[in-house]
Amino acid sequence: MEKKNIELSIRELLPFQEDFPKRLSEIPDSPECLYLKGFLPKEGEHTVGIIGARDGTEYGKDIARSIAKTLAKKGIGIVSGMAYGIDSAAHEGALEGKGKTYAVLGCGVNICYPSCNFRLYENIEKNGGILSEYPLHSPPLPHHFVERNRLISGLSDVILVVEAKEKSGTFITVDRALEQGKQVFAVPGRIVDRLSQGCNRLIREGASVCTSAEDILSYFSLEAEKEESKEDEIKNFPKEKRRIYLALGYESKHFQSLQEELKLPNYMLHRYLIELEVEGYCECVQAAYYRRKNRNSYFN
Amino acid sequence: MLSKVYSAAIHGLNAYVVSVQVDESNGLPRSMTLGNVSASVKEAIERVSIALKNLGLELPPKKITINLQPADLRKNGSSFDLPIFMGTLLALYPSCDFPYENYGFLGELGLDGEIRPVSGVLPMVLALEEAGMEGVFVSKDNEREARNSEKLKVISCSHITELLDICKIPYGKKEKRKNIGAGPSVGSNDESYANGNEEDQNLDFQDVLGQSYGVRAALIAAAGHHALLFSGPAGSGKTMIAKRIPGILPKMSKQEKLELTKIYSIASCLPSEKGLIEKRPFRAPHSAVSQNTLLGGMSSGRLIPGELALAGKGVLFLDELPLFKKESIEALRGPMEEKRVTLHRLQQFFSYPVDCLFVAAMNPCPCGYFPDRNRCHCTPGQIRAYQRGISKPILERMDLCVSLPSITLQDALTKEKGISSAVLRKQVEKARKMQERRFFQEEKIRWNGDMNVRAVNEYCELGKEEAEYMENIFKLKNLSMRTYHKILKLARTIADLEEEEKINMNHLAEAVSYRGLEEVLFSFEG
Repeated sequence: MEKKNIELSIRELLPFQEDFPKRLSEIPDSPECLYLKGFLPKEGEHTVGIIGARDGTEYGKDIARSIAKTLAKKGIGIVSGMAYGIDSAAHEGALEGKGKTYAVLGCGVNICYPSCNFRLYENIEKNGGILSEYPLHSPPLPHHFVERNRLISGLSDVILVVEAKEKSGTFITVDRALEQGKQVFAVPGRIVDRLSQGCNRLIREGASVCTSAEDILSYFSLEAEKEESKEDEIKNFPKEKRRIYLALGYESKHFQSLQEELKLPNYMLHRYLIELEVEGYCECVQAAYYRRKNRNSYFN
Repeated sequence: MLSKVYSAAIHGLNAYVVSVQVDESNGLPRSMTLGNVSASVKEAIERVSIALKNLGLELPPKKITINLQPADLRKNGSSFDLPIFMGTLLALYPSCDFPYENYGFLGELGLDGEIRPVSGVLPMVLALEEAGMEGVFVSKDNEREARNSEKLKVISCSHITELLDICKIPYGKKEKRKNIGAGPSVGSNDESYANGNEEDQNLDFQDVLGQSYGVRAALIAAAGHHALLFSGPAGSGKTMIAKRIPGILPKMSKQEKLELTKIYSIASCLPSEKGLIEKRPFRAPHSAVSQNTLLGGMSSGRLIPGELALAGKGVLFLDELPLFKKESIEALRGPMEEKRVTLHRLQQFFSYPVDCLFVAAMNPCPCGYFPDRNRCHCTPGQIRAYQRGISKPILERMDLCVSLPSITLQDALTKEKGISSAVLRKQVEKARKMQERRFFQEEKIRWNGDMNVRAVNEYCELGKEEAEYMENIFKLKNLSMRTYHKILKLARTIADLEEEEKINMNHLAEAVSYRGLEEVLFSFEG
């Protein structure tokens, strides 16, 4: 009985059917059949595919999350693969922005892979769609992910690469996107960072640079909402508190390095860090590792 | 003729006095040992008769019956050789001069008459002392250990001929005595024996460079007796800090030293040149350790103290916590909570207190660099599988969860020396004094780390402002009640270190920062 229920919420779409997405019937190597949970982007709805490394840094995930959030707020659908790291962060950002998000899986749509993303899986189903070209119960095999990448790029109008290593599966998606004539954006990074080397290579090869959500919004001729600046609030901080806030980076820093940098007494550092955390200016990533946190968006 | 001498036997981690009765009567020649004895005790009479023969004294062809009282407790080991020898001698020569009726005898015999050391001498000597004996005979190697007794007169011999001389029993082959040394020595029980090399502390916190955060955590753990977990990349100094913790705990009292030495003596871990364990122990069992080795197990009818007992009053360090066998770690849950181990082995119950400081260390992931994603290449699956090695209940019993940053060579070269252990120990002593005053009427609670919920509510009272502050943090971090109590306990210790009677916001803020590892470790669960 339960099995039946699961299957009832899943729709099978064939190319001759009316609601088979046009975007996907137009691409080369178009899928023969699609399985869908939830719904698909409407015709004319802007979509952005946000992709990147599974083992992304805190910074990378933050960027993915905040850009996805800003875009989703403007009604742009966020497409990704529901993998660990950047993919999950992009979906989360879209859900935070109360927008729509679509996940293309490399296994049957009834399987949540990776399994610890089950909460995300449930939320995406309610606020978008989960899509796969593989029959129900198909296991997540490596070659599936290579093939499903063409669907991610096919569903998206624009592809944004947030973090990628020199050798990365992300490039498969980018290649497919270029074949399909989509615009590719990449977030630049420091040349020494392992996880930014792929993005920097894309930029060298001609991808557009994305340094804020506005870059993508202006591609769609949309305007970003002006967000409140935090500058004023920070100005009103006591001197030490401001110094601590400014010393915090987007990558987590250990308590001890902060202490050595600022030369503040231990108790004061503990006090202000907790205060900043309570007020939402910083977060404790792991015991003793702190990083700056954006309350609204990354770029203000 | 019937004779009677005294000895002692080990039961669990304690000893009791055994009286050895030897009867020699007419009948078919045979010997028999009674009193619930193991094979090793039964062998004793054989060693005795051959040792006698080798001295030119033959055991007459008579019926010899040996009884060890109390007869219901199991007796084991070779320490009954000497009392059985003495009893047999007295049974054979009832007219000999024997002024040592109220003396205990402990030792093993060789076939040539040599007296060899045995394990468990200290608890046995203390049992004899308690029973009102006057003195004890031990082997030369056990002398230092036996001298810990304040009342007993300790006579050490290395060969049975010395005993024969004392009892004025003539024997034949004098020329066989070789290399025996100075003969029996009767010494006063002064301290000079026990006080070996006093300042042998090579491990000092001064050598720990650039880990002020970890050292601070170690100080708090030592001051309040809190269980401590280090997480950090390889080479960040987790083991280095842990090894130095025994050095900052207050010096042990005589009573504590005796208790500890008793356990080491039973476990045969006491070096013979040492009569007393002077330094607080640091035990670091390997991750392949079994449950029995940790808690204590049975071997040939005797309780072998586990690592938990051997680490008593010192530090039990579990390096690479996720690699330990699950059942070994889970077995620690009860003892950590109850501060006591109860073992049920061979129809007997044994129980001993657990008073060691738990220190554990782990890498955050198989490569050790997580959360630095530019260096850590581990997949989330690998990290999860690695961290699954630790169960949540164990993590919750760790009051301090501290992640250490990685140290670069440059850090190590440019940093000044750390705080010395002597300075830290003074702080620990001060904080512990505060706690002694606080808990003087408590039965079970000695340090802040032992506090239960009732005690936390009683002793960690917060002011109005502080309570509001905690409420804010509680909401923000989504804390469990257990974590909340842990934070209060830690804040109490931090306040004690500053000799403050009241917990203030600074103390709370610092205490809050020493948790959070459990949330990260279990964040992958979904």
